[in-house]
Amino acid sequence: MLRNIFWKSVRDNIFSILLWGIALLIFTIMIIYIIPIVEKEKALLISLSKTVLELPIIKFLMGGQEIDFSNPKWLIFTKFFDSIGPLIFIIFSISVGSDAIAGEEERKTLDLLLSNPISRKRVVIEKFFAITFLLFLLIFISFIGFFLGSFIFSIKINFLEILNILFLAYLLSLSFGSLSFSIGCISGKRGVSVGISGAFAFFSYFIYSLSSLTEEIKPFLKFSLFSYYTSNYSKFNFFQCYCIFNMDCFFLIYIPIYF
Amino acid sequence: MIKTENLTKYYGKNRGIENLNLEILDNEVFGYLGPNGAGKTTTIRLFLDLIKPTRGKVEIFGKKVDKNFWNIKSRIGYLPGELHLYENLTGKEFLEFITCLRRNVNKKKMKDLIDRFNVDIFKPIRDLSQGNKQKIGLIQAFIHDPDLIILDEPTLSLDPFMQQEFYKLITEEKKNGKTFFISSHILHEVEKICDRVGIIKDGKLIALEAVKDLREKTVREIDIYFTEPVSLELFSNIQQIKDLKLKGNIVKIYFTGRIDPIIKRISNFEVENIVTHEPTLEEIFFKLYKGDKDA
Repeated sequence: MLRNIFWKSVRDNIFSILLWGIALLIFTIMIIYIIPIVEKEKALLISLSKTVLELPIIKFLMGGQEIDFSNPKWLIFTKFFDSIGPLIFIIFSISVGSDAIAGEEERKTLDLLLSNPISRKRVVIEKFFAITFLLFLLIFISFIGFFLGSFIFSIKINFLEILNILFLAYLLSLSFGSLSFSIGCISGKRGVSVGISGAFAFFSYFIYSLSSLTEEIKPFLKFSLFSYYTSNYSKFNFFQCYCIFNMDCFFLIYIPIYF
Repeated sequence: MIKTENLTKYYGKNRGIENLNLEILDNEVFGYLGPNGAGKTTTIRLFLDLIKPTRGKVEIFGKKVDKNFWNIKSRIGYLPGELHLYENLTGKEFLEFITCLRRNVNKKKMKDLIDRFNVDIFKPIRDLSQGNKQKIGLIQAFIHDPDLIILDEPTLSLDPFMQQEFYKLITEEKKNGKTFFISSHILHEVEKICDRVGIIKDGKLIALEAVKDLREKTVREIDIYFTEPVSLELFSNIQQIKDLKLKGNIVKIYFTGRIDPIIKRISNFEVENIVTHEPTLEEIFFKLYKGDKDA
């Protein structure tokens, strides 16, 4: 696995992906496990939704989305993919992205790497593809988790829907990963990279969540990456993918400038 | 082999190096001396295009060092001053990784170097001592049989036996036509292996000398402990002696060049001990160049 920088970077993160993967696997299986429980308590939850869940703060915390307890399967997936799911992928993506170049710089291994007959462009490209591959692995593990969960608890779910959501979550988290990667390249500091991209992710989510509560926020919605990643998961939306993919490319523009 | 023209690097307002004009000849072992913070590592990083100069240029193998220079690096071996290897890899894995990046690695040479430096390449790098890490750093600098080898403080953390092995390696490689640029602050190391030295201070090249000339100019100090009192007349007419002091049975001699005439002169006397004081680089700078600068 040490044939090139790509495989070396993948190898460096094997332990981390293993831990994240196990956690995600357990988590996704648990989500499937919860569906019958929620279905059982549907009546109670519907009455609850008419009182407590109408509170703005609760709505905000739940990602600003209307909550429909009449469809527990839908509810669980929506809640997973509106908040916790992307959050997990984004945290992973930012941490791997910031470590790729800035980590090498901080550990002072970059000089030795660049003293080899390889161009800086190659280092950047291989490192970036390693991030995309690692994130893909994590997304794939989530899919396996849903698959295993539905198999273990005999619950029918639409895997095409899951694939569609996971693909959007992949593009969304890759955007933040690319941003942290670019900032890491420019600054050479992991802390700066994590700080800026983390703050960007936070405000992006903040605007998205808040927009459902107040009209004044709506004009800013176009600046939030989450607005391109909506909960309309039932069909593949090319426009959403295109917007998020463009954002990924936009962040990568900085890299050739730096190098 | 290496040529710089007005090479200058500033880190913001802080000085790195200023107007460095230097030429390293083919098949030369060039020692680059200077105290910490003088600009030695900055110079080397500029040679390898690891940082961009503020102004001026560097040419290596007749080609300007710029962003298209990377493919020339297959002909250069490099050992960083502050060596940081991938701690999660074993020595073997690290060398394999470097082999994949360089492609022109001489596997037989790699094996010879591993045997020669006697390093355990199967241990994770994080478990190796600094000396063993340095050995792996040295091995990776030589494995692709480069024409130019740039070494930043190469003997740092090596034990005396390995230092001797390293000096032997330099001598052998020089015979094979290789060129060396060695940064150091250890004078006797430079004296031993280098043909020429450049001395850098506060980012400026203050001297460029052949080693034998530097040795001739360097004032050394020796204390000779006689068993009985002697007269300073004993050392008259020895050209190398610059100054003498007598304290009881001890004679303190300041001399330049070879010590041989002094040893011959005392050979008929009973001597209890001889103590030599190797001048530090700072002392040499001070003695040789302070006066020149003030003038």
